[in-house]
Amino acid sequence: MAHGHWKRLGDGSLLTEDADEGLGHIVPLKTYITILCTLLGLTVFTVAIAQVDFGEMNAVVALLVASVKALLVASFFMHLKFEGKLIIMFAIYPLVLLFLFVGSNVADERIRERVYPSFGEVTEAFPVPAAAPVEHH
Amino acid sequence: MTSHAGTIDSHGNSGSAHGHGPLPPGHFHHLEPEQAYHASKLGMWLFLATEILFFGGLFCAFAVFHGMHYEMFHEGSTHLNWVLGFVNTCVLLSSSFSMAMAVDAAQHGNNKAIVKFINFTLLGGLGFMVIKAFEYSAKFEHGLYPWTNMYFGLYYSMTGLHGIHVVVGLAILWWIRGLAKKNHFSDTYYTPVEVVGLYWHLVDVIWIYLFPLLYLIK
Repeated sequence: MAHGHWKRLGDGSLLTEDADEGLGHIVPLKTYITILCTLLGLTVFTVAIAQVDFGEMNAVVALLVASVKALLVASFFMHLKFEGKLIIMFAIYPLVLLFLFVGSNVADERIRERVYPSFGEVTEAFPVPAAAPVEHH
Repeated sequence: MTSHAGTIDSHGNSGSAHGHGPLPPGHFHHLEPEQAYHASKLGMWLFLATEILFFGGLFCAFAVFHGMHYEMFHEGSTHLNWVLGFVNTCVLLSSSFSMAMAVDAAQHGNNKAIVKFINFTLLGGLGFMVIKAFEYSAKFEHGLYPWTNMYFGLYYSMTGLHGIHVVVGLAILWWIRGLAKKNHFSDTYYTPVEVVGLYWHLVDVIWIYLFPLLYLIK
């Protein structure tokens, strides 16, 4: 790389290897090409593996492959691998919130009937609501 | 963010050890260029965080209703053409690659190469939308509309919201292309190219999840 791995500032000052200083990290062209080929390969792989019936595990496998692809895009195309701690934290915290949000709702959908065995059953306390009379005009 | 920001006087000149001459066009005038670069990038990542949660609501709905209406989702996914989804994934991944190359060109201050790679990115985004339009019209012909059932409601809202993001991305890329044509960027100032690139990659990442969820999972 003619420019080296770290940018030189406009005033010619030297840069530290601290990701919070200087301008962005320059990734070698070879890395970008390798990442693209890996991403396309994983796309073929995810189509192929979806033809095999693992039952519920199909969704888990598909999401795992997608997450590997997302991690590659974020790390190299979005330069996250070369960013400082602050930006990495900004990238991670929405994922934590998303995990809590989706995880709690899916857990609720899956286990509510086990926690409240009578959930959804018609009881005297919760009778089926009478159908609203259809109005004719 | 940077340790050497120093004091800044009313003319926007930094009081730190290494002074700057007149700032090139496009720089913030009240911040050091390097500090402005990091501030802009952090702001973009904050916006991307809101985008992830924006789409997250739909992903959550998909996960919950997939569990509640398994048969309907299974039946619905058989109506999608995975070949078109696969082609579109490859098209979008390639456009993401050319976007990364455009940012790389910007880091080297090569405006001509920025225009060239953004042209490829634009082509990829347009190709994606054309294929998506064919898919939608095929669904309409088969009488599958957003109100058909829960599966197609989510299919159209998720791919639709994603498609809107692609169209917005294309418009912003066109603007960046115009700036690069006027030699606006240099190896010390390319912030807009990089933050637009971040947005484009996020749109790609969302599609990376939409493709298996909608087309592949039975």
